[in-house]
Amino acid sequence: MIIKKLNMKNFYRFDGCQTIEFSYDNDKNVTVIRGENGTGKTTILSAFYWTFYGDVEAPLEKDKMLNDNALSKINEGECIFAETEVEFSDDSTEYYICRKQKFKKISSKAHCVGEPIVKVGYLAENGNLVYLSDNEEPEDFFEKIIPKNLRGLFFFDGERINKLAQVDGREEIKEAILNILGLTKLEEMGGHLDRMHKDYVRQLKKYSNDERAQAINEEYQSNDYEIKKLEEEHKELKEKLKNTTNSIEAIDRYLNEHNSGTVKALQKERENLSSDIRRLENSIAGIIKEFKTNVSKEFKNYLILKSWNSINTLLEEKREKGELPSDIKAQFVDDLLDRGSCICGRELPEGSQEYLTVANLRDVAGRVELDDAYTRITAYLKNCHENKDDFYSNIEYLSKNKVEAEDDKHKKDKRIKEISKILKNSDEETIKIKENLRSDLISMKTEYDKRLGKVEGDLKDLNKQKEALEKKLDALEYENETAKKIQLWSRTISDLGKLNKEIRDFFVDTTRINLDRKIKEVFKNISRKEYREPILTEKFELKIISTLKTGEDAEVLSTGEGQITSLAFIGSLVSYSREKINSELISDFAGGDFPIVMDSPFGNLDEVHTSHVAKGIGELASQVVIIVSDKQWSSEVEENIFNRVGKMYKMEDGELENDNTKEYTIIREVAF
Amino acid sequence: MDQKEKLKEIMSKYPEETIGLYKKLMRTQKEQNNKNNTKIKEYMMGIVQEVIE
Repeated sequence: MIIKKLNMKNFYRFDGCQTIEFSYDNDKNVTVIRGENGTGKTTILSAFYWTFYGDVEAPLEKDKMLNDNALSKINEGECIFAETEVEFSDDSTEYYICRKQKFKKISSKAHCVGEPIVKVGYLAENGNLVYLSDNEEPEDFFEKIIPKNLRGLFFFDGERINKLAQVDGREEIKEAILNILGLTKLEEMGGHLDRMHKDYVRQLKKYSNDERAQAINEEYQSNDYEIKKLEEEHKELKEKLKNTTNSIEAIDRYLNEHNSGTVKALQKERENLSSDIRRLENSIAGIIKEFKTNVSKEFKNYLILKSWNSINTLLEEKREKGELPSDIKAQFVDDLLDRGSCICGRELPEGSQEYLTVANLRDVAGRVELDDAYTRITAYLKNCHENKDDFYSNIEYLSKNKVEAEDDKHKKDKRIKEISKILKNSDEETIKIKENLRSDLISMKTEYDKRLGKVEGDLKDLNKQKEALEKKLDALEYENETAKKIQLWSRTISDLGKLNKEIRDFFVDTTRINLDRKIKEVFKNISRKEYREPILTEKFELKIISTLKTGEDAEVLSTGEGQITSLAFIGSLVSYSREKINSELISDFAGGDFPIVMDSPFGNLDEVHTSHVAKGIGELASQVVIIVSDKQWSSEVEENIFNRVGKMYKMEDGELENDNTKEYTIIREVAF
Repeated sequence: MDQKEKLKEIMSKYPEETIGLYKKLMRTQKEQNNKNNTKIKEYMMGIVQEVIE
């Protein structure tokens, strides 16, 4: 997808029609939009959201979309539109999308009239613009190009993307990978196969003559009903969790940006404490894991030490008597007898006195296996005895660390509660309300999390039962010819389902491994710390670790690093998806080419990271749009991105024609 | 083992007929999605019944 043009007409701060034409030249693929605070930089992101998905980013509100000056130019009772249009190309087709909202002037105010109007058109081969009809669902048209839930990966606020590089971002990352690389097609196939199988099982029920077959079929249907019910609850819980988390984050942002220094400082302290708690929880989990490993591997050895004295005495007695290890081996005696001659040279004819003397040695000779076992046991006991203090001191060390980490966590939890109490008792009513709401939301989130864990566990059990029931159903035998045929189809579908699952797991795993490699590569180019490395884990967590440390302690993440890691992830995903379009291996599922539109991409970064990001940003995607304040457009940014910039625009306050004119923004292309 | 070989190994566990049918269903899904067909499942069942006589 390449964005060619954006028109905004009477849209929030934009009076009249303001146009931005984007650069998409291979070498000059970056478009820069510069503007002072308050000129509507974030509105540009909302213009894309509004055009493609029909909503805007908070704090903007849809019913306040109409520009004030546009409203003042019409008479009472008259109507006017606020609208945006985007021209773009995708997969060699040129598209046009326009979304507009009608407003009516009533008592000098703008009132929304009816639903927004969406028009989607494409350029036909003959060069004519053909509009999609209503039954072709223009509303959902863009979902197929960039799904709404993933828009944050391509149109985002640079200062707020660090969430991806946290455990909370796991689902978002997995979803992004599956969607962008087209792997959801395999999930879709899995869904079709599952429904087909159920259909055949239902059809088979009427041919089930005996009670057992009927019972299996009914059990299968009831299991299926339970799974469906829980899957729906799972989906609802996920949605609730997402909304609750978003609401908490919105309150946190409000407190963070509050003009009271005390409120800001308390919120900052709480964020730091929460981040410390997350790290401590990871550390405690690591200690418990190490403790379990130690106990399961080593503790059995130390249980045996209780009997160490008696075993050792017994073996020592045997050793003193010369029984263990033995002086002569049974195999050696047998070899002498077989050979018929002794080592001293005497003949050993069978039945002779010499033969019997040597044969009697068998009674005192030891077996090789027994001697080996003796050597192993004595060495093992000696090792256990010598290292027993290490084992106990290690266990003691781990326990001490665990208690310390738990105490630390407890103190931090307590401080978080104190902060919440202070904010709830604030003199400012809004702070009180928001903090109380925040506490309620945190409790709700905890409840949802618990229930989600239970639902996921139940679903796992039910799916296992489902698999077992499917096997039983496939094994049933029918006499009726039609039933035999249906069963054959049903079995085939079962096989196809298994194959599809294997292929899906393979692609997900392969993609994760390849993407992990790509993220490391991109991160290396933009990070200034050589000893930091991002990892995309098997659980699809995006982490950053210090290569100087090991284990749980290696995990580190500051806000700036979160932003760098998230940028590296998005860049890698877009770049990997672009490379995979013609890949032989996943050509059937390949995603495509995506643009990146970033508001404040250098937000929390220091000078060195800013330079690196500016230098590498143009290479991440086929097209990059960055929206920056003049302050963010520093010399480091300019120097490093300059060669890639194809177009540059400046957003500035328009001239006020008279006293009644409200502030508005104009966009003009600037030379650079 | 490289990724291509690993995929081949997965495929080799299934009869050619199953692999052929799977590929056909994948193609069908793509075509019918492009046509906005809402009855893809029924369409696919028809293909399975036609192939598995």
